[in-house]
Amino acid sequence: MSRILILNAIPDDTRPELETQLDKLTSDPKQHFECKVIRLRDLDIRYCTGCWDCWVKTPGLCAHKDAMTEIYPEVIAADSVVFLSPISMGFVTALCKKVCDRLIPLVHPYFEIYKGEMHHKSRYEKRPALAVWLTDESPESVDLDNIHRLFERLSVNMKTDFSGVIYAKTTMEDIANALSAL
Amino acid sequence: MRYLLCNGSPKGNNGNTSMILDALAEGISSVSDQHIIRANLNRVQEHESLVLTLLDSEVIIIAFPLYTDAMPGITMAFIEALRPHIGQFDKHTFCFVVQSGFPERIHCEPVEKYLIRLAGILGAKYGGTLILGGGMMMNPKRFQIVNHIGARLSDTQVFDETCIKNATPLIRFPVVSRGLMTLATKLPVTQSYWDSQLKANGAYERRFDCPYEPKD
Repeated sequence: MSRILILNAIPDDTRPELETQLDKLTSDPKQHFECKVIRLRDLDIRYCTGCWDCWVKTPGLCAHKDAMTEIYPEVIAADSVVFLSPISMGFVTALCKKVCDRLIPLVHPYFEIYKGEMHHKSRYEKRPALAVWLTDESPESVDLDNIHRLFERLSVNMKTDFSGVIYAKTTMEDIANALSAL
Repeated sequence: MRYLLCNGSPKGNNGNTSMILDALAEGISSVSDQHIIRANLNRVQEHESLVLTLLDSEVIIIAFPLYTDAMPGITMAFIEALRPHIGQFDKHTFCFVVQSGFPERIHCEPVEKYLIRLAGILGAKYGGTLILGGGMMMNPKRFQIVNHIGARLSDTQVFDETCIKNATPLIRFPVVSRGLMTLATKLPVTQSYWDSQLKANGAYERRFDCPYEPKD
């Protein structure tokens, strides 16, 4: 059974119905996947300061001792990580981006050529596929393209698969089908 | 002309982004009657008051290092702070600077596309994105290039397209050189920048640690 980690980066409580559906989904034993949701806005998560301690002082460990300490093992253990966010100023929320930045302890500082480009080496052998789930019902195509492209690049840098951007999933069935397809 | 130079690096005045803005500011100042304000976006609690300064400026430059293929979280937080003022930027020009340790432009091009879109969302004029790849340090040659871009900016209020393209001309490694680059990255000298820091911190032996590996 695949393990899906949903990082809920909705910054406020304006989408209670969707979050209720999510709660139901995670406790539904009939699903073909194991799903865990982490609501990021409730947690103390600091911004990456670019100190590089996780690369050159305490390899693999972030200098911040905050809620990310609990999230890192969940990310590594998952088969897919889904960033759930509304479109914000044409991109994902700052809350979502803050968590993306904090993923750098999962890569190694060393450079290597990957797909013909310079990238950092991976620190972990097993890496979850990434996906984005936008809460917007009818996003503009330019925003969809930009978000797709940026997270596709992130997936290349993390040396993992990108499962794509999903959106306009409002019923539990829709959500379950989209997640099953990851 | 009133300029606001925003440093979107979490490192504030201690990073490469700050040095790039120094070079740009010096270039802009080479023409008289230029009023420059500098601001650090790492003071997130000051974003709202900074937006008021921004509204009073004419040319805004937002510079940041590439973090996980886009802007750092603090820079995105500042972008979100602009949302209540959408519609008030029609007399503003937004220019951007993206700097990355990777030598190829390809890493920065998706965020460049996003920044074009951002200017459109704001209803502002897009003044171009200067991509600076491959620089862990600001050397004199690079300082001169950026300085010149700043001087041209004060003439036209947008980045000179030719100048910014020449700043990092390499889009991707040519196919013929990729094998050679692969070999080069296997040489210890390629990783010496990191190795020297790992050794100085007594962390070299632990450099491949995987602290979050599942125990089962």
